This record gives sequence, C-alpha cells and structure tokens, in this order.
Amino acid sequence: MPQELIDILLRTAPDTDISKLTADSRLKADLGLTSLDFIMIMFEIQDKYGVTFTGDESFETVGDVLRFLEENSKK
Amino acid sequence: MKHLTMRVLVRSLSLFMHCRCDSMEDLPEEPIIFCCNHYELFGPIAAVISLPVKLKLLINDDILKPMDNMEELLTGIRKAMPRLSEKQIRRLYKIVSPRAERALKQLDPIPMTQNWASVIIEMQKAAEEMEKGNSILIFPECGMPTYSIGAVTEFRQGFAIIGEFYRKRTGKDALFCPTYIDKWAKQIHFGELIPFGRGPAKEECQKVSQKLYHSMMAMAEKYGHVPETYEDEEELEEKVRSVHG
Repeated sequence: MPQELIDILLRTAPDTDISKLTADSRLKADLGLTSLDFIMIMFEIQDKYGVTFTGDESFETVGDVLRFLEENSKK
Repeated sequence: MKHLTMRVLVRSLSLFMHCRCDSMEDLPEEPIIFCCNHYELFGPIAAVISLPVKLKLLINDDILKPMDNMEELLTGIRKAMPRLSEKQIRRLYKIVSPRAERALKQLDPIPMTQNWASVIIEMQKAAEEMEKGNSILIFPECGMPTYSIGAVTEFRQGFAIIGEFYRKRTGKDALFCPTYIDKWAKQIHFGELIPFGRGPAKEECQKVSQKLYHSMMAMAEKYGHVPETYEDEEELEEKVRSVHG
C-alpha cells in the first residue's frame, strides 16, 4: 500500500484503523468513510497524483483506488 | 430559435413564479454560490427566473432524465391542484413534464450525479463557471419531506468543495449565500454570506454546511408558511416538529 495513500486516508479520516487495511477493504462498509471523506480523498488524490477522473469510476474497495492509480497516475 | 423559446418560456413562467429579491443590493457583484431551499419544484424554477445575475445551475441528474418516472412532479401537481381527479392530474402531467424537461435542459445546467468521483468533476466545473463570472445556484438540502411547508432539512457537505477549487483557480475566498425562497409571499430572502475559510478543506466544508443550515433554519422559522391546501394536520405537525424540534 503506497504510504502517500495511507497518509491521505489518515488525514481525511484520522480514526481509520489502518492495521486492518487490505486491498479488499470496502471504503464505506469496512473503513466507515462518509461521502465527505470520500470526496476529500478524491480531491487529494487528484492533487497529489495528477490524475483526472472521468466520472465513470466506481470505487468500492481500496483495491479499486489502487488499480485506478496504477493505470492513471502520472507521478 | 433556442433563445426565443427560452425567452417565451421565461416570460410565461414569470407571470406565476417570479419572486421579489429582498436586499439584493447587499450582495457583492462578484460571483457567489446561492444555496437555495427547494419548496418542491418551485424553488429551482423561481430562483432561475428571479435572481438578476448570471447563473449556472447545478441540478440532480435524475431531474434531467426523461420525466416518465418523475414522481415528484406528479406529487407537486396533486398538492397544487387538490381538486383535480387522478385522471386529470395524469393528463396534466403528460402536458407539463416534457415542457419542464425541455426547459431545464435549455438552462444548460451542470448535472450532479450520486457517483463520488463525479462530484469532484462537477464541483470543478462549478468553480470554472465562477471564474468566468457566473454565480452558482445549488440546492444542497439532504431530504425532501418538509419541502411543502417551507421548512428546510440538513445540508449536504461535499458540494462546498467548490470553495477549494475556486480558491485554487482565483486565490479568492468563495462566498456561499443562504437563499430562502418564500413560495407563498413570492419573495427571496438572503442570509449573511458565508466565506469558505482557509482551514483544512474538510473542516471548511463542514463549517459552511452547518452555517448554511442554521441560517436557512432561521429564515424558515421567520418566513416559512403552511399552505392552505394542506389537509392532514397530524402529518403537518409531525413534519414541523421534526424540523423545529
């Protein structure tokens, strides 16, 4: 798991238990992220990784975010 | 042709739905974000035709889809014209819905989806529009049950990220304007402007949302009305209690 992504997660939702964080962790059900948390994470990801969203993305799990970054990251 | 149709439509709607704007002169000339209550479908239409500024509308994309499933419009007709039979209501709905759909599309709104990643794109577009000099009109209430009595429900928070995008583009603090539409008095009231501060973006979004809610609640208590056509007193009281405590 990229440390930068963990940092973003912790900055946005400091109560997240990262010891149990896996690629299969579900963003809402397991990590308890709210809509606002998720919007902030998307905002920071766009900023830090220089990615652009199309609006067709579907992020259910941490793995979905990682895959998206692998395919789209410019850094 | 498009502009002519729009002008005719706006003129017609203005006859019934135009609202006076209270203290408009106190608002700044720069683009701001009008955060408005719904009052069913009255709010969006009345705000568009009554606010005398260049506006870009952000609207739920469900409303822009074919209106065959648009229960809200049917409910609105039922409430506005309680004496009509269900058959007459459905007939009127068939006449009104395609026109309402066309009118909304001609406003060229920014459609808002429920996809979280899309919200980022939509709010960026809104900030771009502000940079071009257009104010934004948005309806960020979470729920619908109290629309018809002029009350307001809590506000969403994520939309306020427009403020962060706007600052990135212009270096300026975005201003959110609580905008209360009083359907029965045909008047639009404005609350004190709320700036998107310089703190962490998440906290600023939460602050803006809470301040908007409190400002709108204060205006709802002051200007909210109970429509005379409301028949179920118990249901009405329950709704008022749920909002006003």
